[in-house]
Amino acid sequence: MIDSPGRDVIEVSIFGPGKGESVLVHLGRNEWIIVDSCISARTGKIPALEYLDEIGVDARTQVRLVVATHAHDDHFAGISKVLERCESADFVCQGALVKEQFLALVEMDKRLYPEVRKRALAEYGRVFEIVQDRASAHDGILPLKFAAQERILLDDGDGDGVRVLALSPSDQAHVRAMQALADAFAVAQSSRKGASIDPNELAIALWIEASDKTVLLGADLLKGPSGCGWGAILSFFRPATKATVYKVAHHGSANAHHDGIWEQLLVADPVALLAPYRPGKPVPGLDDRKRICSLTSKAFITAKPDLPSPSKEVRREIADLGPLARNAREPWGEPGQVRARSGPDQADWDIHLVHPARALTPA
Amino acid sequence: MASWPESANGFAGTAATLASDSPGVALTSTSEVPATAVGPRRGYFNRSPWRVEQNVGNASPPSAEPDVVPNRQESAARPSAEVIVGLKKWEGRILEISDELLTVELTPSDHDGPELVADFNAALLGPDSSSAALGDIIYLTTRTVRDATGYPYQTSSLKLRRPGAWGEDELREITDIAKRQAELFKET
Repeated sequence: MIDSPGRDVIEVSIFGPGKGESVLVHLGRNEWIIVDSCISARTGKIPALEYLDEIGVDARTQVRLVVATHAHDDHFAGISKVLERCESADFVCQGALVKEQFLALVEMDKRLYPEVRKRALAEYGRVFEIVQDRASAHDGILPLKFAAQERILLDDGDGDGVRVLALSPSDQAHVRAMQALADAFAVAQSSRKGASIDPNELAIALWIEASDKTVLLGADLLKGPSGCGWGAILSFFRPATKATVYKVAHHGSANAHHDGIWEQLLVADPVALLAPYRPGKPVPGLDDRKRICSLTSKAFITAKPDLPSPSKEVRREIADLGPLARNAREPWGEPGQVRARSGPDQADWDIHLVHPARALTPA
Repeated sequence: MASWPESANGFAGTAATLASDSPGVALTSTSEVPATAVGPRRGYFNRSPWRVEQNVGNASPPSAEPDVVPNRQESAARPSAEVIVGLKKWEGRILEISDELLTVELTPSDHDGPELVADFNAALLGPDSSSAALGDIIYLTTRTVRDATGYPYQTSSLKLRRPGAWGEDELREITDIAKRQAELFKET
């Protein structure tokens, strides 16, 4: 069995890139939060839950929050399964997602592609069912929290200093999202299309204080647009203590980079954790890697940013795709894990890499 | 139901048919087996790498398509029938659209296999190419056909799912359901 962190040891683990990426945080006192979901494309299993099993953590009782930072399936694929296991956890999402406008899109999605195996919003449909089912066990109170700028999601306030704060989405981002959701709803006689909205600006960035450690999880939050993203956070948030660990936003891509993150929110030379995104143009790209490595000497990635070597099964399937398919690839590969742990009064973090994780290099 | 006309060079191959109402065109590619495996070429075998299938109507889910029917004119011209010896289908979701390329996540729909991502020329969707959007569903079908001489070749087709139009009653029903669900979350 892999060793579990001590009661006072803070851990941040990132898993990916399966279908999605996932971050696990041990807040101390055997309490955890899970941020986003990752499914291994090769095994269909959820590495974060497997890991908790391996270290003897009971996900049913020891996970306090399951956070879906945004509705892109490279972050929420499989999150309903995570929530199913984490019976005591509150589910955290953006408030916009329980508004009539978004729920209408979920229902549209359900009707639009009833026979399609992978529907974009099916995960949310299932999550809301679970949340509603559990309300009866909570005196009718839904185990649900909405993230918004400066909203505290967890605050034990008992001297141990465990606090989870949402830094986003901003009110402006919420307004934009509501407008986009309303625009996405179909009108009669229009083509039966699914809704296509870009929820990255709604992503939930988290500020976590546990014991004497501070961690910033950047989700897929982008720089802007105006009044949204990192620009909005940096305009109001000036923490007394800077973060020593940063889950790099949006897989390290340039559109999520803001110098202010590194200057205002992070210590010099922080631990930077990221998972690559490879289905489209792979990120982090070469320029992204150079930039990140120029900002810290302690950057780690769960797998190489380039495409994984295809297995025999994948090569066979690619050959069967026929001549219309170009550049066919299996971009997910095997998910790796980067684990950072730090004990009380320990200034630095111990890094453990699980294959194919590695140190990020500029080239 | 309709079969496509013979192409200019006289090759029609096996036919895919599609049900229903609005006309569309799907491009189908044929790929040759390696030169060493190809037998002597005959007139009708002189096919171009692409041919255009005229199809009619909305692309159906994989379970319903494609039916395979012989082209009567072609059958008369051929020395013997071609046989489909392999058929594989994938369902795909459009992840990205850029530079006239669709990046699609493909899931096998009639066999076990890994999920893949591949790029397709958007023009392969014919008149549907302009309406293809992120999240739309496409169907990819590949067929391995053994010709009269016993040699195989592969054809494939890409179609956008066109599930018709939203009805007023249906949208009202969706709105009502969404309103009821939103009420449940209101107190949170």
